[in-house]
Amino acid sequence: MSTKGTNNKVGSVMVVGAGVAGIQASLDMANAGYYVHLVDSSSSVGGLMAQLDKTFPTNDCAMCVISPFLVEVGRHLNINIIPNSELESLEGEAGAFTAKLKNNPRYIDSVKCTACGQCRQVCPVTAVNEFDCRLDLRKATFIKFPQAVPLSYTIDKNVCIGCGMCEKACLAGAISYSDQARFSEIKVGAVVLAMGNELFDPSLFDTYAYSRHPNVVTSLEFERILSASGPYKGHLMRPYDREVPQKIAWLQCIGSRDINHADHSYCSSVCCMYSIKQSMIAKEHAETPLDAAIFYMDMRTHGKEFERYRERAEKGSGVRFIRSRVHTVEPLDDGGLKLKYIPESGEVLEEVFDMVVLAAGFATSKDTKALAQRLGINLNAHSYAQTSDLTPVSTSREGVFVCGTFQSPKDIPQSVMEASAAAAGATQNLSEQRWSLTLTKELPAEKNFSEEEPKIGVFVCNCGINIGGVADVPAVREYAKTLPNVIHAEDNLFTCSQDTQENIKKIILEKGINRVVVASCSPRTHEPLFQETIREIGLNPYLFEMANIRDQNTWVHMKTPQRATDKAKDLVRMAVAKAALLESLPQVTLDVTQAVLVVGGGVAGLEAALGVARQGFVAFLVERSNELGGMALGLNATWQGEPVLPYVMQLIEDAKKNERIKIFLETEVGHVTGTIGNFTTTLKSANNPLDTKVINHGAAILATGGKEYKPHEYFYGKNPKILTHFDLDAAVRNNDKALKDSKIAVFIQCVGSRTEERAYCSRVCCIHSIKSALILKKLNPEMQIFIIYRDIRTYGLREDLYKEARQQGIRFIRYNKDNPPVIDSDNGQELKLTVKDHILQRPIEMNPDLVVLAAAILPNENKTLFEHFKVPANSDGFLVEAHAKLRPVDFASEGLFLAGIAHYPKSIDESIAQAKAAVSRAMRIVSKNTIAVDSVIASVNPDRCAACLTCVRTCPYNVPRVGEEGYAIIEPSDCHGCGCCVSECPGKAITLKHFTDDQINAKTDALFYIEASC
Amino acid sequence: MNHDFEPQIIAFCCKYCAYAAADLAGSMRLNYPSNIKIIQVPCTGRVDIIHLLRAIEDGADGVYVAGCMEGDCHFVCGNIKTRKKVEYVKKTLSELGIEPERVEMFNLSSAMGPRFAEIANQMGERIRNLGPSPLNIKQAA
Amino acid sequence: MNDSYKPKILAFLCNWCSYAGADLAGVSRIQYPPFIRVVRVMCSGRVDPLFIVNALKEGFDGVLVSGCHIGDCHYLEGNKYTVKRMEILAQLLDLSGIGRKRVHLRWASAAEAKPFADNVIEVSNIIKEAGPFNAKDHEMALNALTRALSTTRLRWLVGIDRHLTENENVYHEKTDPILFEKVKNDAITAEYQKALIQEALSKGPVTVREMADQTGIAIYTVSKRLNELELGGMADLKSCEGNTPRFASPV
Repeated sequence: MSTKGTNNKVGSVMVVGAGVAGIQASLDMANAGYYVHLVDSSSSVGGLMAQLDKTFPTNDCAMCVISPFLVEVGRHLNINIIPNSELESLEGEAGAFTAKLKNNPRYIDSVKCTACGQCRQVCPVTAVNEFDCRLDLRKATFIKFPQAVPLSYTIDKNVCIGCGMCEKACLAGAISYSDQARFSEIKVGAVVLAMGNELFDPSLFDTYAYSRHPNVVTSLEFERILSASGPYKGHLMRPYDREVPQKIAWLQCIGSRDINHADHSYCSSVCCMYSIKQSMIAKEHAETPLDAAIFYMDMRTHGKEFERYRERAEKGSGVRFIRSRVHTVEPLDDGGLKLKYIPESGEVLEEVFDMVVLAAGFATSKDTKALAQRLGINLNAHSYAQTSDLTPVSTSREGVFVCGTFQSPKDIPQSVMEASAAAAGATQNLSEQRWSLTLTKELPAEKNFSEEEPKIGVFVCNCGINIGGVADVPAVREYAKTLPNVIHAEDNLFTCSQDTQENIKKIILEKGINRVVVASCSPRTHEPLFQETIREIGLNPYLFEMANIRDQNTWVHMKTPQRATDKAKDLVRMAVAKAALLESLPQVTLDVTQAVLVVGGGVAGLEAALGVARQGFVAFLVERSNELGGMALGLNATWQGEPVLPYVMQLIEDAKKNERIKIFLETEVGHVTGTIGNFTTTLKSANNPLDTKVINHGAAILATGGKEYKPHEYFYGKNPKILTHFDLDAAVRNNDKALKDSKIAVFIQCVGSRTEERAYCSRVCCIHSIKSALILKKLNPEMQIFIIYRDIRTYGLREDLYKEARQQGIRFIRYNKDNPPVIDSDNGQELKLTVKDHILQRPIEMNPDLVVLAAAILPNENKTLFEHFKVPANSDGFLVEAHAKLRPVDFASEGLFLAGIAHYPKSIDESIAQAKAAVSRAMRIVSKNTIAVDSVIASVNPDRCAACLTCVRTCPYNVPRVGEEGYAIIEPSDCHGCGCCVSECPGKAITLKHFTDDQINAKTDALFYIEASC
Repeated sequence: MNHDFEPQIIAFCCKYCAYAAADLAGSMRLNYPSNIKIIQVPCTGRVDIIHLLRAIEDGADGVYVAGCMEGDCHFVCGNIKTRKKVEYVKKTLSELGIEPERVEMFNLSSAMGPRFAEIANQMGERIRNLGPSPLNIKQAA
Repeated sequence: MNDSYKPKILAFLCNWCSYAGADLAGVSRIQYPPFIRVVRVMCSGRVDPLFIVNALKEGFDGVLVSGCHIGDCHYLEGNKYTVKRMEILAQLLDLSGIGRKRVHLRWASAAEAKPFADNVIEVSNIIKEAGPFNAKDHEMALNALTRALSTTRLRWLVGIDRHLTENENVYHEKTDPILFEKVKNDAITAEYQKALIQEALSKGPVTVREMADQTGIAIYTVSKRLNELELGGMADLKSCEGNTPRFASPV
């Protein structure tokens, strides 16, 4: 192990837990110069997200979204996946830990295993399939899911009888019964904990009949039922008798917000949204109209685009929302389920449903608690990792960071943000060891074949018996030899095995092969492997083509072997035809300007700039106003009660002192040009547009913040007794006597939020109101305090505040959007407030001395700025991220990132996490001297270009532009390689490399002109 | 209907969804007719009108494009652009007196292995009912 | 019971002990009822449970398998395998409702003419008591038995039983006998129920409730077994009438 510099810090990091958060943290760090050990107790990476069917609020397919990440993490040279392992202990200190691991045996060698599944087919032992939530069975030899990484089977020793059948069936020789548990030690500089969470087990409740009736399922079971790869192949059916349900009820807060049974008083934060999602997807599945009813206490749709999603469910899809906690589920003889509940009207109602879904909340697992104890990590009262709002991803132990649902209950984007933030935190003090332990591959120079005729080598795989057992592989091999340009063809038992790779290299050199075709499994999983192999002996990786004769042939045409053989020949002929036309594609690299521009000097911007500087790079911090600090200057405390002002002052001081941070106050961003790694931006003085300055940077972070809505409702500004949150915080800071003297204080929620005009929830107001109410109660315990609300959204552990407020006697009165409270203020002094109480079903009148309006949070207006960066904003003015789930900090345009309220209203801890996350994402770019540009990109032939602008209009990423020379220009570093412009270009002036018209047509032609091609 | 007729069908599948769904159909060992040959493209947006017409010209009895669900395109909207191209090709074919049903566009996610097999079966059945393409020289002869 | 009832009993006798014992009984003129029809096999271990099911299908009222005493097998341990096979068969016969009373395993050495005759008398009486076996009434069950006894899973488990429970397994450990029993019993029940359901499926598209009616298996159990069949590619969703899906064997 080489260590640069004089200190003993280690340039590698351990990530514990390989769910979506762990994967994100690993990729960020590995791409920014650190070697990552990714440990997971299960046999595959992927975590909970791999089990989901769809994700809210976009209804994207979860597996589609996550599987590219699984593949990337699986093939990354600088990520060492350590599955089936537990972290036993962590000794040493931040910068130089020694992690002791227990590696549990897998009994199947994941290097040799080809995931062909023969072992599964012969295994005589069945066990419940945990991945499908016990809805079906698996074997003792199993793979967690078809897209698992490592893509390898494993033996469940707990149920295995040791009969030896799998060893007899495995032609790859991967079975290894002699595997033993091993113990290993790894030195790392920091640790990121991302163990995630498990779901609450509703069998503890007898009243819901969960353990007594198969038609009562948990939400995760329902995900599997909806999933196309689940037990019913995506057909919506109920478990008891496989009938298609007509009526489904979702019961919210199972194991959450409950202090009687479950001991989980917190809100699990995600269940309202996933139930809405499931109800809408279920309706889509149903051929006859499905009646979906969600029974809830408060509908918590506090995230970006969530409120509209709920509206769509209710108004568009007709999902019934019933505000009631169901107390009994009674199974009927025919598989139906009778629900008894009391809605707000007070009557006792009964309704029969075909299925009941229990929206089970999060719970920290026993294993996670035990691990936290072994590592010396403090947990809070709810058994989540104890963190401060101002350092949201730091645990109580220095050098150990946390992200995802082990920190608190949260959804995927929030987990992913925290994962990047934890990656930034973990590496911040290791920057002098950056690139010290990472591996690079030494490759020989590429050979130039451009003058040579194609000489194609074809390698046909038997895949044990997976291909050879169905299709006649020797016949396919002999056929391949007859095809044009083929100078060599052979078949292998396993083309992907290590020894065959060596053999392929030998034969390529011996015979002077310059194009390689492999006929085997899917390029999705194996193309990179073969490309690497041929690159190792100097062939450009693009001189390679694959014919998928397993997944798309012998596995789906098992019963017609002759046809499978014929099809294999066709596919090989098509691949050979394309191979003859393949060209080497150069690997283009660009130099990187190792500096980051941060726009916005609020908390998010300051944290981002400091993060960049502490990682060792220059940050340009641009602020439009004349002071740093932003909105946070007007806030008193975080939701956990940590004072904000001293923290912001410290941030400002640190930023000013830091040599790597160049601060530009009263400055605006003018023109922006360039692409990822190399932007050039003109800054101009806010006071004098002619006073400009040009800076160069490799990435940019937009943290342009937001502001409080100034209400025109409720006489705001006309009566001194009516305040907003910021006004109230100021009054508290100034010890305003009027507060203490108030006898009746009223908070009105959703002022300017969740309206026609602003259809989103401002996320922070419920919490701020309750927190403020508690402060008022402390000032004057006699004060009567009312919070008039629509839904209380104290999501996650913030529910503690709600619980405390009720214990303190603060009263909550609900109102409907159509029936808001009314304030009468004739003389401008005495206030009269009327609101209809939904429980008493009659109006209540009061004369408050203080009315606090929970005013909406608005984004700052930055239309021109966003236009300069060409970044999109949604109809509410918030910036739009690249992907709502897995890329919540990136813009679709490479090299640009976002943080803070500019993205969506959020609390300080969330803004800090997102800012740190943006730093982590930017490090992937600026930590390198050069970046590689993808080779499969579109390029323009200027001679044919008529500058008609079709490509400009077509490109989903706005990449093409018409240059001064009068033809379209496509920046290689910006092109995503989809090929849309290529197929739209009327002049055929654009080509997509590796997918040219000739290459695609060659495949079609080859299928039909058998004689011609022979 | 000619019972000996074995149609040749080409399916252009996007790498991110349809191609992955085809692989999943394999993992799940779902059966579908072997006369479907898949050509992988990075995005259905890469599929050009000429690719569809070329396939028909070469003698394909059916051609279809399978991409991500609308709104889920890995490249934002390639699938929506291609739906229009498919519609255009259908129109062109009917003007030439060739059944427009020989060309189709499908959307599915990478988790929909069963749906892939269903589409393959559906398309196979449809083309079998239509009979050989008038341009399919071997069959027509 | 009608005394005139003459049950038909098929007897598999091993060449070295029981067949010789039967001969000796003849030589010794020991009398026993004339109900058995003998098939000579080299070892009782040759008797596949499928032979026995076939015998029942083809009109026999019962089956006797007779071999050497444990420890005396001419092929050392052939009869120990017979024991394991007969155990599984007995369990399956009970599950099917036919009952283990129809099939019997007895030992008789070459010198044991009297014990051989006593065995025949005893088994004949039991089967006579049980009355005539009408294969038509048990058609579905018999077909399911054939199906279940043909599965690799059950055949492998029967074959490997003694190796695992008497010697060490592939991990060089002794397999927990309780675990093995559980695995075996699960497999017997599952394969038989799956086989019955396959019988129902083979007759065209059926609903879960119809399958439950035809097989006598509880509705939820049918749903679960059906799922196992679907995952193994042995059942497909065919259509949906209203809210009730129909399933069938794949074409």
